[in-house]
Amino acid sequence: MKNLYSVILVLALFGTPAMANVGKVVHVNGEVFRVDRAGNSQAAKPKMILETGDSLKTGNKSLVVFSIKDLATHKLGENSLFKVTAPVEKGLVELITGSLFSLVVKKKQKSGVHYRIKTRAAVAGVRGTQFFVSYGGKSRPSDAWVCVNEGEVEVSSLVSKSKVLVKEGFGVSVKGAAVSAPAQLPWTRKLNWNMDSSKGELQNPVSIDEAYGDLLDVDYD
Amino acid sequence: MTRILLFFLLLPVITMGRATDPNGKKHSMQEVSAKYISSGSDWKVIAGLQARESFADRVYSHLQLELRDKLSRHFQWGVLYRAQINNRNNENWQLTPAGHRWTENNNGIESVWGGYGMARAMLTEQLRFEAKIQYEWSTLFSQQTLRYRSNLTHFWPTAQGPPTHVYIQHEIFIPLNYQHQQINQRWVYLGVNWPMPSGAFWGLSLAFAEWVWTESESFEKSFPGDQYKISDQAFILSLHVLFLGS
Repeated sequence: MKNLYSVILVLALFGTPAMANVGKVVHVNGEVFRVDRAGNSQAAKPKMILETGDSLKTGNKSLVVFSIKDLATHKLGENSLFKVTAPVEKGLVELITGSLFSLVVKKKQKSGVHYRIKTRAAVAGVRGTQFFVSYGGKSRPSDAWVCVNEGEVEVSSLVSKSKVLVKEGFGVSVKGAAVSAPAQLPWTRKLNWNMDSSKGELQNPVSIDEAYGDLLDVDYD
Repeated sequence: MTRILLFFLLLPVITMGRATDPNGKKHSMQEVSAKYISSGSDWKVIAGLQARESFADRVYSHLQLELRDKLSRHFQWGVLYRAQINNRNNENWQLTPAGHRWTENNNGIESVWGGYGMARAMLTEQLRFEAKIQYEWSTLFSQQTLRYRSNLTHFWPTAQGPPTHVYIQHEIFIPLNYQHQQINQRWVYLGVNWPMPSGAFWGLSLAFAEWVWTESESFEKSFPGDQYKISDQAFILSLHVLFLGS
């Protein structure tokens, strides 16, 4: 019996780190699902707990605001898929497709946790606090975009490992091995950075497809 | 604005020393232009300045103002006013004390009013077709002209701003109430526009133009019943800058 208690104690202390609570859902608009590591899907609701290996998936005109421990708050845009891929203490989360706004707590950055958002094209290593990542738009499915509203973000291509530091007010694109030079992107002025539903509309009016503009609307003559 | 001024200051240098034949014909001309297109989802204001070498060492230049409205994703219409000098009209072939001569330098400012409709469609993800039909009425000689232009533009889209593009374009001028010629001008263009970090575009184009001249009123009075028809052709190299409203 004593041994059984010991086993339970050990399991309680060390046996379930992968299943640890790593965050929670704060706000849901529209169709949002949490998919666990076994592939089970359920509608996301406020206060729902997120665990390592979980994914969040949004539908058309839907969004979800969620927190990752006390490290960051995120807003996942419509038609997006986000995954907590590693123990969150390592600071790595993954945007499989779509768009993600991030508000990262400064203190945690200083304490040595290097929070990073990974896409299939690039990794955004956070040194700043507020930034936007988009990957996998319909018109340019392999392009990733990172725009910084506050602070700095280091963006590296997964193909070439080239790195670019993106400062506040600037953005870059990642296409294959190439990370563009940081530039002030006109379309990012319309991004809705708000993550607090009590402070107004959460829906982001800009999609990466719209950012490329309608070529029928380009006038040069 | 400094760049625009620089363009027009440099124009005389560009045009200096270029050979013309004894009849004032030119086989190559150069052009500079600057244009501003305002931003806006439906209504746009467009202002353009242009200067081009013309016949007999004259410089044709114009200021054009347009108001353009987007009716739908595929259709736009607009109105325009253009003030131009040194434009060669068919009726400028006039009798002078020295005989019949081109007299476009005596026109002063010629006002042109017009309206147009445009249709656009994407042929592929990056290739756009545009057709434009434009009616123009010139206060000088009360000439009315219909212009038809078709354009193919290939874009390299980017979310970082307006895209680099190349285009080919064909334009014809149809005189409605003057000349017996069905088409009296034809232009074929090949051009490229590329964005600069400042948000402006630089552009370069090469055009082949043909003008057809027939009997003027002055000629008909002097030589009733006689007919003539001559044409001029020239290659035109154009450098332009385009400013887009933010």
